[in-house]
Amino acid sequence: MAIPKGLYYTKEHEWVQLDDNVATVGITDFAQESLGDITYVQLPKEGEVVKKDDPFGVVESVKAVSDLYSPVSGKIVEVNQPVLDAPEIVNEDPFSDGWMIKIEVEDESEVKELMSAEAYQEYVEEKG
Amino acid sequence: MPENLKRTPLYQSHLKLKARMVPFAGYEMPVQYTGLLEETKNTRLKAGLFDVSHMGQFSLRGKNTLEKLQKLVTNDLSRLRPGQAQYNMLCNEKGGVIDDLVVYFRNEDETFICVNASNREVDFEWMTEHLKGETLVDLSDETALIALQGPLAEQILSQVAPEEVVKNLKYYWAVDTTLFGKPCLLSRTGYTGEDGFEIYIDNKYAVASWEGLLEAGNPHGILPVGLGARDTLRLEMGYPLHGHEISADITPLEANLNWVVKLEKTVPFIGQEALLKEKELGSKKSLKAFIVDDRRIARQGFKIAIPTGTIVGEITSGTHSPHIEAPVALGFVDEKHSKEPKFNVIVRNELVPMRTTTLPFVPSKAKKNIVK
Repeated sequence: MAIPKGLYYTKEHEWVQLDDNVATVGITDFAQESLGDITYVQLPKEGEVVKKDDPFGVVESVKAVSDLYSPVSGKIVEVNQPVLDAPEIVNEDPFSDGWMIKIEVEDESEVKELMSAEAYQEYVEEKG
Repeated sequence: MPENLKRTPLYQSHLKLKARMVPFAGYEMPVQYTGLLEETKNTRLKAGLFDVSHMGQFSLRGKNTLEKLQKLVTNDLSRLRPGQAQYNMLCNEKGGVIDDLVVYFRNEDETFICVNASNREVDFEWMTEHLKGETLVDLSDETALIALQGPLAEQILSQVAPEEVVKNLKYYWAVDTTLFGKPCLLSRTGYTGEDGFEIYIDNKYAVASWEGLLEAGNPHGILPVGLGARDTLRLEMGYPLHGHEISADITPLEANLNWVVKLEKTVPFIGQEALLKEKELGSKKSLKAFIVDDRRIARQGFKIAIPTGTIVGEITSGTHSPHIEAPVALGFVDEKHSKEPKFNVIVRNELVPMRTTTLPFVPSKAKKNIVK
């Protein structure tokens, strides 16, 4: 199971990559593997404003439906259109092509409060 | 994992294959190995191997057992010849389905019955009560059941069981033969819509049979298949699953299983009166097949509505069909709304359009009526 270093992680099994004040958000390898074959992804529209911990979308596999929670507050500046049309991308490449949304972050300290790769690894193993 | 779950004799084999195990019908069962969609597709294209040892098996012994069983089931067992099997419904007095089962006419002294794991105790109790004085033996705990399904099933099985026996076995017939030299009951049946076999074998031969079949099938691209893909395969065929499309509160007529109900049968059977009345007065609801015009899966319990928002029914099973490349579902619609032109499923408070279609969703390739 991959847990790339340099990213931030949430307890809901999402990852965040911060470039300046833009956070790219996706689900982790652990999340995609637990869900199994993903058949549907629902994401908000560009320009919508999200609050930390609010649901912003849905990921659905044959087995389960899972809400996506925003790890930070801010405005959505980009949505990954290809995963809406081909959700299997999330299974194939959760940390790169399978990203979900980009958020213009209001408060960068919200990102810094999230887990590091090492802390997330421990979190997953404890739950595992 | 909840405690006190039973394990099939193939439990360790599943762990070795890194299966994801889940509780199902009181057993710890493999839900998937390599991936649900891959396992589904591979079964239709090549071959799949299923552990269905959780299912129950009863042996009804004595003279004229088939005739005695006639009064408990909806299909007509008098049509069977020794060696032949028949899909059947065990109904209560209201015509509700206690279980769906396969009845095997073994010989003049034995009838063999395969039942759902979750209904095994209920079935056994019901049959014992209604077959007083007969010998009914529960063989479930000593019998493993392995299903080999897919277009390459015959080719694979011919390598490890007597080739002539395998090739000459007709659809819904069974024969006593050997697998890797060990005795088994080989049946040309399954629940996938593909050609294939089900192998009833003593627990002590289960591991060698399972591992041997995977090895023999390896050059042909066989994959082990879990319960997840099994459910998708049966749903693509529109086959009912007890607890979903049929139950003690749902009749076979409501579930479009008229072909299994022989109301004209000369021997009266439990539920016949209620079913005759239903046929005369009409069913209260009917089972429909849907393709969702969206990627969202219509799941069991989701409400069916007409475009005005009025709720007219409920989904009983839903999945993503890799062959149609869309979500497919079955569900009941109230009879007075059954002719509506448009249906929606309510997914998380949103009306999602569905198309009705005829079953099966995917054409069956089971070798029906083929005599070789």
